[in-house]
Amino acid sequence: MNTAMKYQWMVMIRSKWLVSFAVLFALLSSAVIAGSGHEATGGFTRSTAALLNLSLLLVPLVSLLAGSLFIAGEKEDGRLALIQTYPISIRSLTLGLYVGSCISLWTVIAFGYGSASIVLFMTGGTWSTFFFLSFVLTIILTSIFLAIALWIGLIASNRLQALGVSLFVWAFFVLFYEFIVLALLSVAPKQWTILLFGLSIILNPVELMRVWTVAAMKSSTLFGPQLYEWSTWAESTSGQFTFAVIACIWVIVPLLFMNVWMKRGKHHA
Amino acid sequence: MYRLCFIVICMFTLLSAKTVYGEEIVVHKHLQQAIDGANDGDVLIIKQGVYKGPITIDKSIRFIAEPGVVIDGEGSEYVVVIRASHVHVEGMTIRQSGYGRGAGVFIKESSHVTLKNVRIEDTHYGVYVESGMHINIVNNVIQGRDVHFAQRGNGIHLLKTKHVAIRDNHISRVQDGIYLDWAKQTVMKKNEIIASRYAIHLMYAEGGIAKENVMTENINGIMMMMSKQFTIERNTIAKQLDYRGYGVLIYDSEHVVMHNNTLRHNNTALSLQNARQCEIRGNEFINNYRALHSLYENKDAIVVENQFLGNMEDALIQGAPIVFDDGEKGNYWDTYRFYDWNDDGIGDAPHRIRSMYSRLLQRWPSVQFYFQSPALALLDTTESFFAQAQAQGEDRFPLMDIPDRQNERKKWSWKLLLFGSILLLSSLTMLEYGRRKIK
Repeated sequence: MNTAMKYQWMVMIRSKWLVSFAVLFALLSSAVIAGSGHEATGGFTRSTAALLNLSLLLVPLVSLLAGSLFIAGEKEDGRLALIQTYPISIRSLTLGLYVGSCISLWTVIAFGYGSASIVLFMTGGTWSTFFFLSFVLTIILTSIFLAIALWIGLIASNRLQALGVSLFVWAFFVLFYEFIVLALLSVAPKQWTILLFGLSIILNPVELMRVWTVAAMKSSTLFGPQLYEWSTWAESTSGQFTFAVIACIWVIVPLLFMNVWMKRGKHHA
Repeated sequence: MYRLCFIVICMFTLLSAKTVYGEEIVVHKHLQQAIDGANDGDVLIIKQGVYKGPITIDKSIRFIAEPGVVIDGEGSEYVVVIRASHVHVEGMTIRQSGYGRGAGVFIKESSHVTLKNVRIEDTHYGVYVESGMHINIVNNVIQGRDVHFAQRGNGIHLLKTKHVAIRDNHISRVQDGIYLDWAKQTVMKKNEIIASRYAIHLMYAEGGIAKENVMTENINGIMMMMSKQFTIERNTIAKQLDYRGYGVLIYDSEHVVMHNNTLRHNNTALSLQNARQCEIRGNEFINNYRALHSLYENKDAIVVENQFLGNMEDALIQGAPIVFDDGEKGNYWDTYRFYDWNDDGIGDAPHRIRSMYSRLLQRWPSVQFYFQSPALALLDTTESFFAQAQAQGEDRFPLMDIPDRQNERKKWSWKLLLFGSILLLSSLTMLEYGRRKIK
């Protein structure tokens, strides 16, 4: 696992593409934070919403692209087949590739959040627990999408296919999903609302992170009177625990698929 | 001779003045007996100890407690009843009234009553004033019971009163902090009201002012219904974050003036619902989920020279349009996107208030679940560039600078610097380490 992890980490961190994203993410988050200032209260505000939205838009995209393209590339160039010949178990290899990619992207996210915090400090902003929470949740979001990305990279036959599938997955989760749920809401009976929202959170990690952040900041009155009881639950320990469990499932399931896929691939090879 | 006459008159005046203030009586036990035995104008000094209530003050006396005096109602309806004018009560702790209509202090048909430095706890109502005039309630602490607010009474309850001054009180954990029912000319100044249902609740109130009060973490800050000629000035109204939380809600009222208040981090900062001839001027709306909500027709309401900063939604207008300028000046909106080429301090294009989200919300209230979500935020931003015609309201003279900007120097947030530095340093180290290892 160690070898695979180091290998993946170094290959990814060397990529100019990832470094440029680090700079872009840092610039954008700094701009968002500095531009929407007036942060004097601890809760969920417009600037925190803006930073969260930036994370929710960009992080899945970059995680998906970085993860899937790297693995697809490795596969295309034959390096993955080479690594598979090493005397390491498939499970260690899967985990190694995953952890290596995670460390690289976490570095990028840390760079972005670090820069934004320094910019906010210099513009006279105040500390909010949101930064820490949002950072942690962004890290989790990266981890989830990397797991999905590696699997996409593995099943795609080449880089171009990986790119296409990744873009589609990103657009589906981030852009179309909400509107699909909204459309369903408009036709579904009223008593299904909570069920539908609950399902929509479970089935989309982007939604999960958005709701989790708001709930973790004890600001879920934002969701409105219709979801009052649900919001109270979401803010409670059992709610937070449930969110964490769903996040774990979102990491574990793609990795399991990947593991199975790799095993099958090895046998075929 | 004249001098002698003057001295005699002065001495006579001084001697007679003493009889006006009455005797000073020190009380060790049996409060009610002491009151019954006192005459108008006497001063009762109460020595330290726990006294059994209830007591009724039906004479014009000064009732002054030394430190450590407690009057315990032991569950009787009222703990202290005042049924006389020119009464001064100062310095004790009053506790344990009954439920229902029970109150710590019940003042009925009295005038010129002062209640000062009193601590009221574990009572249903704190102070209940019925048909009183010229009442001063100053520097008291009122803390309700630790039950759901539907089972609590109000902190200070005024019914059919005139000229009541409520200053420097600290009220918490009650149903409504200050409740005005048919109260006229009430002055509420520098009170702090927290963790209650409504901080100030006005029903059929007329005249009066709420000034420099701090209202935080209640369901609503000021709830005004069927009232008129009221001024709300320089109050801080923050963190009314309940899902039905309003900083100020003005319903079916008229001639309300709201000047220079700070409304920060509320669910909805200000809601106007059939508010007529109201003037909203010079207020700061900061970091609210929604800054302004207008429902029904708010006839001749004027909203000018306010600052809208960092609100997730500036305004939701669900009824007739309202005026966001007075023909010369409008408001400062941090979401305004145009320039001021002629440098007159007014933006060159009108500020149009519109929101795709607001329109969706009116049709499907559950859309609120997606408030400021990535897709809806993106849609809102995109729409703001194109759909000019669908504005809900318009400020024709948006201000380019914050009016009377307060130059408050912010402290450096070292936590932020530490957090940022740790993240930056660790990420740079990781980047460098990864690259060096390759070589």
